[in-house]
Amino acid sequence: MNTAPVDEKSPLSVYVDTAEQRRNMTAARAALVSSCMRRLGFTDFKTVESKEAGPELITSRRYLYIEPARAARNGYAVEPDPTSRNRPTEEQVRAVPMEERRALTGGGVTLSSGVKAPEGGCTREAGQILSSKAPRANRLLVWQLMAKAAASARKDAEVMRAATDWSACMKQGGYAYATPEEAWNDSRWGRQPVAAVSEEERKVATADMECKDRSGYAVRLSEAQIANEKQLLEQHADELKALARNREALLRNTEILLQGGRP
Amino acid sequence: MTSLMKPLIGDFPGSMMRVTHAMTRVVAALAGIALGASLAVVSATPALADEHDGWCGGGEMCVFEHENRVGGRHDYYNADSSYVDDRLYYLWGSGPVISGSGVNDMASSLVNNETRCDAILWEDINSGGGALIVPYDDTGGSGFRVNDLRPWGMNDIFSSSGWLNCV
Repeated sequence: MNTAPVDEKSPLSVYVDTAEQRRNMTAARAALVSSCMRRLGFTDFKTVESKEAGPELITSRRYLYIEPARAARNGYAVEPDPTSRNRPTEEQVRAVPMEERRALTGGGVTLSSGVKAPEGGCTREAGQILSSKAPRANRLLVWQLMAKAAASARKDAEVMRAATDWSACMKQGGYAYATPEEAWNDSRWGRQPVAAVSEEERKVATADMECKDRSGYAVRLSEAQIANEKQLLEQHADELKALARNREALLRNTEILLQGGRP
Repeated sequence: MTSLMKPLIGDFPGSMMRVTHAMTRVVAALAGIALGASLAVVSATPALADEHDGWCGGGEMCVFEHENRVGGRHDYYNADSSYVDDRLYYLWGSGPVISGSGVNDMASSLVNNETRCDAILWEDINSGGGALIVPYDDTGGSGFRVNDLRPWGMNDIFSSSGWLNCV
């Protein structure tokens, strides 16, 4: 049995904000939006940020792997992300007065109170303050490079061999899936919240993860991902340096704002 | 686009239609029986639009079949842990019409029209596989657009989505 743990992290992971960093940045942004809205006269305006940190964005799910014990409890399902829990419903959004919407995201107009909303609204103003002195960078780059690395990793000979072993292991358990993607994306799952996951889903998910342990599929996939990311890191060194400088500035500004200062 | 009242993107003409998600599935099933690419006209109710109605409005994350936000489309306001049952809408006559073609693994471009949350899309259902974070547009513009997912191996891969970092 291959019991090596899946390496969730990879060279490009360092360019992804942690849950803690995201929570702090969101708190700083929300405080700026709120302060701007109050200045414009919307004293009842509420932001919806979560006090809790959400899940980490880089997890073993990227390799379609969950700890077998968790799979036995929850199947493939995910707990809802608390950072979007307080998001208003569509009905609540529609009930927001036009003046408030303009102040929040439209701007450039004089409100009925005679106050002029900033261009782009309070959302833009908050973004500008938070990113003060932050050099420009491609905010999507790290995800794009990870996807590129993953597409190649799936074609790696070791990974494909492990996928064949995984399929044989699943067949021994009575489950006919050609690839790990087929099992994970079975149309019978995906809509149920954690509490409503079926016994069948829990059984399949458990067998799936145990077979991934035995075949070494997720470990091989993570090794291939890491190797590919190292290459991409070199090829995109300048863009990634710019991204790193951008993130450093945002995190520094977040810290200043949360301590009551102004970047 | 700054209004939260369903700002329409690009080429959506005519009146709005309201279709619930349940209706979406029923009509999609009927359309699927007919022919994968055939179109089924759903009943139109002159009301404010909802998610899963083919209108790409404020607060929604919309996926498109082709690059530059053309072709079939689908709009999401809430997180969706599986696109497997969702169907593409096509512009037809006075508005979007649901088809038998699925959304799953079909997106080639997208837009985050939400102004307070980042969108996250995953390659597989239940937050599995690779991901893409699409920030919200904080410039007062018309949504954060990703006009071509192909160069990065992200074409026709997305199967679930959600929101994060809401303010």
